[in-house]
Amino acid sequence: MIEESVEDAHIRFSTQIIKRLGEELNPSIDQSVLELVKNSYDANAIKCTVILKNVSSAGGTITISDDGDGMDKKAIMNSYLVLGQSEKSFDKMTRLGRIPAGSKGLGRLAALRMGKFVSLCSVPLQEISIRNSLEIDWDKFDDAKLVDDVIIKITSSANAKDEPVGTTITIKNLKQKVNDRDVRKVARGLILLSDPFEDDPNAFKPKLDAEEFKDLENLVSKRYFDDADYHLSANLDKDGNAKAEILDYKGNVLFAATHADIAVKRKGKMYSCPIITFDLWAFILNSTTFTTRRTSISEVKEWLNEFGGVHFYENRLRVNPYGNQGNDWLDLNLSRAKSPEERPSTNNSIGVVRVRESKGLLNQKTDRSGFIEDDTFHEIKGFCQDALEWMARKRLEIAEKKRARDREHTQSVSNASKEMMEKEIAKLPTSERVAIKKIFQSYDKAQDHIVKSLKSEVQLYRTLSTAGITAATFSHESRGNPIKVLEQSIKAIERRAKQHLGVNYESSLLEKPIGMIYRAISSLAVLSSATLKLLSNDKRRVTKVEVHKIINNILETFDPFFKGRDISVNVNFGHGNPFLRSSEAALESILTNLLNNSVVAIENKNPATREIQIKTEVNEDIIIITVSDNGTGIEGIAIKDIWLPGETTSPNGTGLGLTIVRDAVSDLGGSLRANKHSALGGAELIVEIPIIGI
Amino acid sequence: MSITLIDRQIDRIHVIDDDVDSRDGYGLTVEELNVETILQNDRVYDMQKFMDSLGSDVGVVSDHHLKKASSYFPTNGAEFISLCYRKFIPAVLVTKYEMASFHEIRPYKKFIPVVLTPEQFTPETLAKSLVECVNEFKGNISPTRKTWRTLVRFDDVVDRTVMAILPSWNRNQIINLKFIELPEEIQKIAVPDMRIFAQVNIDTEDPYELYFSDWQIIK
Repeated sequence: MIEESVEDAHIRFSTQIIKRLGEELNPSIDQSVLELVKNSYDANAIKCTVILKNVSSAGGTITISDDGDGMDKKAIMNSYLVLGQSEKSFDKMTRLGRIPAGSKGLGRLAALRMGKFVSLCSVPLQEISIRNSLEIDWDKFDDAKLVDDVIIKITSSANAKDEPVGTTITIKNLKQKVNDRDVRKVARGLILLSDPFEDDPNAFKPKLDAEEFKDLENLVSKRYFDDADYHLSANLDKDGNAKAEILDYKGNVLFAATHADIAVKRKGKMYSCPIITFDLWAFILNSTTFTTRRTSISEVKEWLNEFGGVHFYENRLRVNPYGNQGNDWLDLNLSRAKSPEERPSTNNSIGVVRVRESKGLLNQKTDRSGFIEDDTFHEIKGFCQDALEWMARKRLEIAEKKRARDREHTQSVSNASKEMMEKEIAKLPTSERVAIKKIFQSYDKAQDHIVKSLKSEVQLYRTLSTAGITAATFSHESRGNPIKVLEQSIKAIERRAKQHLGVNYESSLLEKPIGMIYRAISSLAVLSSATLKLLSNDKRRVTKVEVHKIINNILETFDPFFKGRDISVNVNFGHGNPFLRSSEAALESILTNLLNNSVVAIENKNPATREIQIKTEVNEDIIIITVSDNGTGIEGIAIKDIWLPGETTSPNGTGLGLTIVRDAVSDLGGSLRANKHSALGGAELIVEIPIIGI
Repeated sequence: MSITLIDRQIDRIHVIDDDVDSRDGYGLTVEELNVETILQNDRVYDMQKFMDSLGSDVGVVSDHHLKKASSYFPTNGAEFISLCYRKFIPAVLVTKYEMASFHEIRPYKKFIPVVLTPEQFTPETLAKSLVECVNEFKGNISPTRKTWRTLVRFDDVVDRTVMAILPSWNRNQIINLKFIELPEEIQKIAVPDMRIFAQVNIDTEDPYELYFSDWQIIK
């Protein structure tokens, strides 16, 4: 007989788990480095230096050194070396009032696994006489079977060399090289973690020390201020006398203002507040201005999204909430909305107001949510807004001059070229002169024609934009009350008629007109909701767009419209759920315009049954969307011309629908073709767009 | 004139809409329930006083946009209906489910059992909706409104909007949550790839019916 025995057991982990967790959860170098930097931030470090040495090829070294709170032996053992557990609490601020930025210990594992060897030494704030250190040799884990089999020794010794408080982690013998792109991402992450203005003594000040990437090292120290197109530098002296300058990105003074130029609204009256400096960096965020720069527009946008707005420092200490996300205490956005041209907003500018004040003129609210808005505060605000107004006036002047110059320049270049050409023609022998002159005159006429066409195209776009804006305004109005009132009233009439007439309702003369009103309401609702749905802001944001879902949404919106015209839409979706990364609006523009064209073609032909077919199929990483109908087909125009703006065979058409389709497809990296007649008889448009998944 | 909803007697139904004709239009439907229809024609200045003036035998029908034409009402309809719910007054929100207003409504959805579109608003649907409210007051919450502790992953955070994925609801569908829908402490720390818990009615299939409450940061 076997005696019962009980033995304690544990679930233990293979060293393979370490490998998988570290490498699969967070494989990118930039994220790994930033994870360690975030640990420094969470440890209340002021300075944190990321040193990259010989990293252009595998085998290099990354060191992250900070002056944070450091760790004692217990913290290293019970927190730092315990994976998947973090003692950070995201609703609890750190000692310096920071919201913890790091994640669970798993990100740290990935970071430490970047090299074959890790060393850590830390001098804790609570015990500055002790230096704790450890070393991890990952080869030992690769050789061992279980995680527990590898022993890591933590050495605590006297801090004999008086090393400063903080932690230094060195990752040696990197498994892979670090390229420019990785370091750029690290630089970007460091900039996002650091305070843009380093006035505050407690602000986090990360630094990049990378011999092989000097330009990125500079970028971290200078942030993106050098990418600003205009720098407003304004100040008030002790007498309330204002001065300001606008500098270009090289620091050259473009304009200078005296007190009278700035204090226009207050008719030159002095400002009554302490000494102030106000700096604002304004960026022109369009792809043209950034094409020649080393930084990308998205980096600057991301930074401005985080720090845009005007910050306030009183005696070098940051005062909240000024300049926080969503705080626009100088009403930059309101001013821009009123007069958009050449004005900064919190999305495209960053600024700082610095006040030196020791007389107690500025008083913070008891809940520390900013200053009490007394006369002094209003004077400061007034000065800043006046300086911004002056800047806006000057920038508008520049823009106006540039526009006038461009117009003149274009005209004079054109005239000069023409004159030169005529002179050259005059030099030719008579026999050739006549023929060349004729050709040139014909060319000149064609050019004039192009200019006229472009002008009329611009006018057409303006007219359509105006029509769109007006339609949207009316759609909002009709979508709301009038349709609602019509609906409620007709339903009440129908119910009451049925109640009074009972079974006689169906034979009464009321049923038909009531039905007609219902259908008219549906059509009106489509008109307004289709317009409004196309205009939704969310639709212009780049996101994951599921093609079949968009097609279904459009068909649902247009359903009453199609029903009203007896058009049946057959949908034949291919396999899966193909999706791409784009804006919903782009795909909607394509499909809506194609459907509109089909409807017009069907109405023109007026067949007995009216039919549109939408078919999708996926060929590798391309979705092919085919829209065909049984309308007139493409007649009276060459296929190559149907994409041109203004070309239309429909008397009331704008000729812009297919141009928009062509441009939208091209934006999505796709292609477009057309057949004059499909199996259904009408036109067939075939759109091919790359997808990223199915 | 009164109706009885389960065991609750309703004598009057207040109709709130800032547009006179729309208010009258809803009134036409409400009066067919054989209750006294009270059209709120006067501007409401003080929300608390107005709430106090509503008795226990009333029901409420309200539009969402109440400040379009004038300062007719101190809050929007969604907030108002949620206040009624908390006072155990059966109340129905009638509105077009536009994307713009949807983000304003969702934070209050926990306290709004039924949202009807104007097309859906009839004496029958109104009565049914009021019954649903009374049922919820008694603790009988429909399965599609019952919430569960749910993991929410922030797939991306763009322009003060979180693109959230609820793996236990539909791991392939993104739900856009504007920052105004999130508690302030979460707005501050929202980053891509963040995971968080919330109470969500994941038994609903309609993404517009989803609502979130009791957000809980994973520590």
